[in-house]
Amino acid sequence: MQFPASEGSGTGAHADRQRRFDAEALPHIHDLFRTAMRVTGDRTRAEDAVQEAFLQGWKSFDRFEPGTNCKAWMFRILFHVIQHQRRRWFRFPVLKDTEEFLEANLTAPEPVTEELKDEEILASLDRLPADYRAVVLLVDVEEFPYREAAEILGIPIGTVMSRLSRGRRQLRDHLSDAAASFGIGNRGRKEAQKQ
Amino acid sequence: MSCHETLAILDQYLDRELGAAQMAAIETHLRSCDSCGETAARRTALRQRLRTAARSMAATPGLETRIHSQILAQHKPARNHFWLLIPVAAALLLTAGAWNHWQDGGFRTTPEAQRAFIASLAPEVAATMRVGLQQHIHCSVYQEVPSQFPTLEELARGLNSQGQDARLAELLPEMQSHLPAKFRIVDAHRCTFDQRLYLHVAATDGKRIISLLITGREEGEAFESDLRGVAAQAAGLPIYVAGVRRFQLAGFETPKHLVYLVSDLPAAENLAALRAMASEMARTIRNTET
Repeated sequence: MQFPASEGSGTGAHADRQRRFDAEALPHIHDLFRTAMRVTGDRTRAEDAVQEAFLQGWKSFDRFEPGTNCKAWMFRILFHVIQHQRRRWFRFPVLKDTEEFLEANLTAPEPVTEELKDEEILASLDRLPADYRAVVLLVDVEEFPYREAAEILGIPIGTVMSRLSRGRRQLRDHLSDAAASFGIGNRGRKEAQKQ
Repeated sequence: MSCHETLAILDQYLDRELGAAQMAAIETHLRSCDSCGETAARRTALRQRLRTAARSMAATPGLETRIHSQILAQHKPARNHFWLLIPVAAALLLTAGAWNHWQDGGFRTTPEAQRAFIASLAPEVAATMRVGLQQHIHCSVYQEVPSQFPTLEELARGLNSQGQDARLAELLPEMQSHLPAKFRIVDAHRCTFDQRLYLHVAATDGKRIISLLITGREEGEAFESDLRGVAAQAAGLPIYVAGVRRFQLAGFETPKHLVYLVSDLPAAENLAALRAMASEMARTIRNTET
């Protein structure tokens, strides 16, 4: 009987695959981690989610098309993992989506950010409902276009826009309250009311 | 365009998600309306602050190493369709154990077959890693593990009688102290493979084998030149890893030497063992170089 002496071409390709994964996927670890951290609110869960996302990414790396956006691809896997974990945690309320995003923009206060501390901004972000927070993170922090954010989260683009709009509005509300408590937010509030 | 209309799509404008005509209409309005202009400026400022604040967080130190080790531990890629072509009869004839044994280099009884197996692994691992892998297989896997277990002092004396720099022989207790539980150094000798001289220290727990290898570094040899990822730092010393079949490698380099720890332990344990002893080894080896 003949035995193949090695795994043949598959194994030479393996080293190449490892190199490509190291170069294209692994550099996004910090982006993925901080997003996981803000979405789950827990370091251990974030680490688990990122680790699992990379493992799944590695296993299905053959399906990743070279030349396409690897960051978006990894984010899609990450949110899939988080979604799966979330079902186990029973912690995050899942929002009902309504397409009423226009109302949000019209009367919201516009906080002056200069005097706010980073921690206050992040604390306000963390207070957002998880689904709004995810969209704000993807669009405002990671700068994904709406279309890619929709693909990452597996939701329609209209839902991305409505969640983004409401999430941003709530963020502005929280921060105006924070700023007002320092006596600096009134101007922004008044002007917004004038509209 | 009115203030009302502008504010309704201001966010999409700031996100550059509108068509050219609407982008231009909003731009025109913002230039002429101070109130909307200020709203746009404040939203942009908030977004920038949010981005900067959120991005100041980095992944937990060590997470990347963990991920890397975990991926290396999965070193066999998912089965591809090629395997569907193997005749069912052949698959039935091979028990999984025998097949794995063969894949790991078993059943090679002649030196030629053993060399052929070592050569077959060469394309799977970077050149500098290969230097450690081939010696481990050649010497630890294919040679008999001694049945008499000498003491570390006896092994050091043996090395010295082979002309080994005594300072390296004195590393044996350091190596022993950082090996995983139940592993014991059972052999230390100088040997050659492919015309290269190694100091080879072998340890076993009765089933598995660990090789610690020190060899001279030749012109142009560097882990960095053929590997992307540094897996860990031990006191500022980068440690590189690779995995081939069941073999796991971790290595570091000094100006004149390459150092390896090779075993069939899980990747993370293999790395941890070298990491624990790396600083002291590197210091001693560097001392012999001056």
